Amino acid sequence: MAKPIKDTPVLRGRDAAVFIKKMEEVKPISKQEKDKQKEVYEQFKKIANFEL
Amino acid sequence: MSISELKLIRLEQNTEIKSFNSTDVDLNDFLFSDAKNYYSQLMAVTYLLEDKDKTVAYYSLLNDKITFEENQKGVRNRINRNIPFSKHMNYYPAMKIGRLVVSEEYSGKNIGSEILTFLKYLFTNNNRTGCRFIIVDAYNNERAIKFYQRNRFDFLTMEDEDKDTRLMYYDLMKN
Repeated sequence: MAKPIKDTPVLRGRDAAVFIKKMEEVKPISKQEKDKQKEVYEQFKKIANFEL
Repeated sequence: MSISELKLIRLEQNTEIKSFNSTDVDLNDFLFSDAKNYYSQLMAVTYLLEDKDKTVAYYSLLNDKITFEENQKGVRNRINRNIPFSKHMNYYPAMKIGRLVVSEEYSGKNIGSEILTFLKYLFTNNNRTGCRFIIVDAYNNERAIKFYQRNRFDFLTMEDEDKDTRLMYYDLMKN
């Protein structure tokens, strides 16, 4: 039996502060990256045996 | 090798899992012993990338959330600033990657990054529920950590610095 999937802990103190700061300063990806994401998504969609 | 040469299978109870070669016993165990149990208990869904006769890679997904301590100073105000009518929200919905692994044979062919790219788009553009973050529990070794950092994941906490695995996250607002 494999190790269980680890729980995500409650964030507190410095961890929470750093997390919030990064969230507020989030930098959007470029249009090129967005286009790449869509291209990869379409490739996966084509090979999937289930509806996406 | 191109993704178009593979199949993406949603693992179900009757799915026959093709051979898979990882040097990590835990990752083999999870696929062959646990993945179907997680599925039958509605705890996680595993997806397989297959070629003609082998499992090339697999990943398992489950719902999760990032929660803040109730009295964390200022956090609730910050969270609620842009969410109308929310009163007591101290968490964000997230999706967790319970496992993500590429077989030894296909390692280094960018398949892991393509899976992450696909998931980032899927959970931003075609999601059935709200989801702000992708979380992953990464092996705490240079190769795995650098892989997720290259894919723009950050550490979630510094409390697991000396543990076997480290929680990392991707903010889907980047998309």
